[in-house]
Amino acid sequence: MDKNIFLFRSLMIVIIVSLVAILVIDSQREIKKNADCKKLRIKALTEKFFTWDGIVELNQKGEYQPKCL
Amino acid sequence: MLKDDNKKTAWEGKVGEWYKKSVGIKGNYYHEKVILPGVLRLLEIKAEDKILDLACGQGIFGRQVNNLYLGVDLAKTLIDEAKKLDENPKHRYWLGDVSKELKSSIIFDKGIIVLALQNIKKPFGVIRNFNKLLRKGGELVIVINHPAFRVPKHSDWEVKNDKQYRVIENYMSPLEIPIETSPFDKKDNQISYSYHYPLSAYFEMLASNGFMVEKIEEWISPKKSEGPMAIIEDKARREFPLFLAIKAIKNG
Repeated sequence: MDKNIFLFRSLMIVIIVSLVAILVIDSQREIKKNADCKKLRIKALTEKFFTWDGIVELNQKGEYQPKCL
Repeated sequence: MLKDDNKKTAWEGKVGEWYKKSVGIKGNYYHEKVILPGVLRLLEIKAEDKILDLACGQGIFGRQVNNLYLGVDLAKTLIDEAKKLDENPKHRYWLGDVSKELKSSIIFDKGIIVLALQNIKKPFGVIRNFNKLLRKGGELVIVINHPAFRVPKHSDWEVKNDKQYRVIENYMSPLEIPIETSPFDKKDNQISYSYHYPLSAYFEMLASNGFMVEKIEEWISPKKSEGPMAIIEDKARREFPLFLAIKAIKNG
């Protein structure tokens, strides 16, 4: 086989494998991010979560909703 | 002091009483069967979502949710009724003109305006309020009478050759249409106003205010007729939707 064609094909394979690896790593990262966000939403709810004024106060402190939403 | 323009579109007095009676606590037939289930499904509300309901009336939607909820309406009659019917400590009802700038320290996650945008003279201002008070990525659901098939006083049914047709007299022209609440009872009659715009106007309002339309749905009536005209009436009901629901996302 011509050396150039061999090198070209090898390079293409490396690029494709790299792209697939990047896709897999990125998708796993997104899945973990969603799972972490879900966990943040499971928390002990105090009385403040059940009244308007309480929620406004928590919201102003950034404690009402997880920041990942 | 309300300006004349606002006064005439606020559902106070006999219009407010008529509306309270027709909607009641659980809503009328269409609220129960079509609108409320559809809005709740489109909004996909999460427990921590903060909800803004402009032109909330007597709070029919607020009573369906257990989130932090703010309802705003121009009619004191309806706001008072909403406060009476809804004791949820997470809910608030404010008196205000939703077509003028509203101020709130809270930024909301979801917004709705149900069967009300068509009764507001300056709908652009309402969408602008949603842009201001919803977070980026916040979702807005609008429900109106379908503007292509339900133009008050400018559309009607016609039966010809055993077929039922929807006849439309005006569509592209924006219209201000006075509606009588009790046309056969002159003593208790009062005028409310319906504002017709073509579909493109609503999409223009949304786009100009930073919203992207994610989906639209056209809702038909689930009613069934009885009698000799049942077949053609039921077919017409299936073909010509009553309501248009628009779900839009705030871009930025």
